Amino acid sequence: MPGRATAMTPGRLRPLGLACVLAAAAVGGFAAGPAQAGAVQQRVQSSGILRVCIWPDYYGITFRSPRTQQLVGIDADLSAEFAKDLGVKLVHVDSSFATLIDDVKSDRCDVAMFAVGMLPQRLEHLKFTRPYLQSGIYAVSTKSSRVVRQWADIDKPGVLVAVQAGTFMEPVMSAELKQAKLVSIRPPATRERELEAGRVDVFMTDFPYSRRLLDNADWATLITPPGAFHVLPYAYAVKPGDEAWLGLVDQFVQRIRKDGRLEDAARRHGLAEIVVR
Amino acid sequence: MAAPLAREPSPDAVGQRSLGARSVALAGALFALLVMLVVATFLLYERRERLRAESDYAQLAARVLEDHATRSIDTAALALSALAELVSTGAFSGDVRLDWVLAQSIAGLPVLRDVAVLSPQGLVLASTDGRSRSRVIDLRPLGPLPEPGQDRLGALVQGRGLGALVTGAAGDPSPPGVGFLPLMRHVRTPLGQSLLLVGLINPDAMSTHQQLLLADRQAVAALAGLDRQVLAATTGHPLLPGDRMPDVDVFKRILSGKDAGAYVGVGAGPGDRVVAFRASRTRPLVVVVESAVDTALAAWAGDARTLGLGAGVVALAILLLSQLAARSLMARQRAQLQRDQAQAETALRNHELGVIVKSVQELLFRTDARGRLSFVNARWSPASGTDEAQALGRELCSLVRPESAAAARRLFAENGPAGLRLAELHMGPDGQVRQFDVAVAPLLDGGVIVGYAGSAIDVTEQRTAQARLQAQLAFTELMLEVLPVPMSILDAESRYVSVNLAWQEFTGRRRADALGQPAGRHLPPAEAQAHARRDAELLARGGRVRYEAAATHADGSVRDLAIIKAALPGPDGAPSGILVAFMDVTEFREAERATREARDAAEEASRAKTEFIANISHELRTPLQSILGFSELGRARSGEQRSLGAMFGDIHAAGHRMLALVNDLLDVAKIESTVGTFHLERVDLRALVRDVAGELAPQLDAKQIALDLQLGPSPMVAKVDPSRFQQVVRNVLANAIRFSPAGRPLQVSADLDDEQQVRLRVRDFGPGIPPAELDKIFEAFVQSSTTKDGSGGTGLGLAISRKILQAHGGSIRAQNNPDGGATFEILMPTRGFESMQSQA
Repeated sequence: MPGRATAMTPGRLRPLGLACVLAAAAVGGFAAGPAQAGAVQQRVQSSGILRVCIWPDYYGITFRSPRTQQLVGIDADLSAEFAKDLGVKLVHVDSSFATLIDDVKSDRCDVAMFAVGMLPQRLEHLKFTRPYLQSGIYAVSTKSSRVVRQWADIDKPGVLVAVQAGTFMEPVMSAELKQAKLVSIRPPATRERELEAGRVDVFMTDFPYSRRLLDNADWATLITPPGAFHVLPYAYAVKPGDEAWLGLVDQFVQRIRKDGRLEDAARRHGLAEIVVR
Repeated sequence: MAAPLAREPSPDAVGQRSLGARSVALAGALFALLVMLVVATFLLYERRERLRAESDYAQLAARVLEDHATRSIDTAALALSALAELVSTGAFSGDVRLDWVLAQSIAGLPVLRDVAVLSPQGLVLASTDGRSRSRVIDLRPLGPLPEPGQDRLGALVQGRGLGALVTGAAGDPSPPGVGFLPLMRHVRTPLGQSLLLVGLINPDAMSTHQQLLLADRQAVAALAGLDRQVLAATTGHPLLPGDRMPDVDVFKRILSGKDAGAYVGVGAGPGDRVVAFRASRTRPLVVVVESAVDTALAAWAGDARTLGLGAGVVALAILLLSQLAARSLMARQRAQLQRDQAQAETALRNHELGVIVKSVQELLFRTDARGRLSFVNARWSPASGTDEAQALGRELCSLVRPESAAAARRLFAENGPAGLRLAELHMGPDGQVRQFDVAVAPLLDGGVIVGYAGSAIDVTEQRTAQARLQAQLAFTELMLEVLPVPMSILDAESRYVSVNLAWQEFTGRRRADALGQPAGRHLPPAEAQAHARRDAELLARGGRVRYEAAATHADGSVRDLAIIKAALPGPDGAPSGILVAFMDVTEFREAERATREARDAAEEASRAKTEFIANISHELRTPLQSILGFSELGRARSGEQRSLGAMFGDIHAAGHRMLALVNDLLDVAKIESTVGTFHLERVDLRALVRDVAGELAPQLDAKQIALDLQLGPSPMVAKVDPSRFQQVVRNVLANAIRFSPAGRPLQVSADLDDEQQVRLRVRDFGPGIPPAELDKIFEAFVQSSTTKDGSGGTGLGLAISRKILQAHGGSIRAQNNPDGGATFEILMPTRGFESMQSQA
């Protein structure tokens, strides 16, 4: 069947290109009138504390090392830079992608700085700065796997492809896979355990997570798509309604992109290849 | 004396030396070989070590992997056992709960893919795999079921889960390479129901572990059942799970009771393999780790190539260096040989030099910087008169005579000239003083005088000879100066070099004006040319020349000169100058002219006299014939008139005498005017003498003289005119008879003198001849004063005799005998006829 044989090629799969457009629109929207200091900024300045939402399990971005309890990652560094730019004290507030919208909206933090993917759902609820990172979708398999050794092996009959349930990859992969079967992994099951036990043959993830896996699991192997595959821009998110604050954060992103601080931080944490330049 | 000097090295020495060089080359080759051997040995050792290390690692990996596999299965078995316990106690009220328990039981066991509870008929009662739940599967692929209370590991099943074994319709699709190992346990429920617990062991988990362990090695690993079926393997393994391993040594060894081991030989892969295995103690499983020998030795091979190449290079370098060293050694030895030869040569030269120094006639010496003798040659003692041993160590100035000491000290002056220093020194005791020309040269070492080398020549004789020569020269010069003969010396260009006083007086020119000036400048050109021509001949041919020439004296008179020129030999023997002497022969020439004129006048007078005598004698004979004829006629006709007859007889006798006289005069004239002609013939003179003696017998008898004739037995042949010779003998004999007293003997003897001349002696015992007249009597018209008394001679006989003998080359002389009387001696050359006759 010719149609099935040509499935899941990077050239065809770019529905999320619109994310970039959306992001540009979002930034362009407030670019016209960023002059007045917003409430958030006033709050930050008055309290002298910047509260930044992070996901402490986000390897390479904001990862709290189990050994030292120290937060490391590109956004750990960049949030510190942001607080320094503002001249205020920095406080990290633990969050996660599941609670992100609520945490930001309920003012648990002033800004979410942990490589937040600019998904349409999030765009509905949050305001994003211009993107500073972007990641496509990568596959992870075992080194000993005889089933999936390259990208083309993924969409084959009988192959079980795992995605974390609730991630943007679930619908993407569901649409992409023609012959292989998509398996959505829900806690307590993990993609790694399913893969290790042989219940799935491969799972899909983004670049930062693949870094973590490769750094920590010797048995795992990364399978990169031959081209860009469903690239998703990452940016910082703020509560809607305070354009001044959004502009301030966006200016920060613009600054770090220009003055090399972004580049340096990305290189320090192995993320140089996904920096938006 | 010097030892025998080896000019040529002995063949042994050359052989030993080239042997040494060859040994170096051989040692180099051996060393290079040794290097190669050591490297080869090292490489072999290293190869073995690498293989052993590979084998060790493979064994270690096999042990670890086997342990992991066994533990994983044991863990899974333990989980199944716990589940079985739960099931057997009937703790479950429903399938849902059992599913949850099953899921929980495998959550922490990545090795277990799924767990299911099956009825003996194959109905899946509960399972962690939702897709297989409530489906009936074929139990046969799982293999024999275990006994109750026990577990059992089944064979490898292709497929992801039990869904793959669904009976009837096609099972769940699974990609190739996905399979499981069923671990089964038989369990009974409290209700007595028999159930089968099946754990699906994920062989990929084993593979992952194998992969991790061997990630950075080239080895592959496989987990296999004892039935040789591959259950799990690394991705690089040539066999896939489910394949059967070849019947390699591993399984034979396990069968023979060995749990673990390693060897190099046949494995699952191609070629020679390093194989290590370990069998599980509790399960029918074995882990085989193997790697290709080539791969295991790849690094070694690279090292071996590098090292081999390096060793080769080193060996080559050693070879080259040893060859170089050998050549260098050879060259050095050759150089040593040449040096030895050169030293031997030098020693020989030194020896020869020593001999030369010994034999040299000059005196050689060496001193230190202060002039103390440190060496003298053998010539020292005889030359200086002092002992050689005594001289050494003493200063030279103390050995010379006091008058030479200062000069000797100057020779060794510190600030003296750097080159040769010369002095004339005297040495030796009084009376034997010898003179030396001494030369010394400073010996420098770094610009400092460390000694002197010198030589001395004994010039005593030379100086003496020079003085003598000087005196001789002075004498010669003085002699030349005082000689009355004008003399001059010209050089090769005919310039005056020397003139004497007589020359100056003759020419009127002063010496100072003449010296250096060309000869002949004051002469007319023609004369000067004549002189120059002779000078040139002399210079060309040498020798001497004498000629006469006229020259003008200082007083203006023209003089006849006898000029004698002699070439003076130069140093090369060729004429380099001319000695000129001339004598003033003017007076001599004048006297000579006067003498010649007088002689011519006398000769003319003599000739006139001879002609006159011849003419007068001839004219006289005509009247004499008349006188003789008429006197004879008168005597005959006188008859009886005795007195008349006597008178005529006297006239006749006187006429005869006059005739004889006239004949003699004619003879003399003939001989002197060379009118007479001799007819020479060879005759025995004795016969001629005897004939004359016979002729004169009457006169002898008349005076009673006994003739003692002793002419000897041998013929005395000479070439004479017989009649003329007889005339001589007759004259001499008649003369002797005439002057011999009566009764006294007359002796005639003949013999040959030392010059082979016939010597005829006639001795008488008469009055003898006055000594002053011994020679005059042979002149014409001379008679001895003692015989002037008219003893009857014409006075011409002896003169004629002498002239005849002179014409024959003979002679006549007279002498007085000591015991009285005179002896006439006639000498007549035989001209060899005598000897010819004698021989005949």
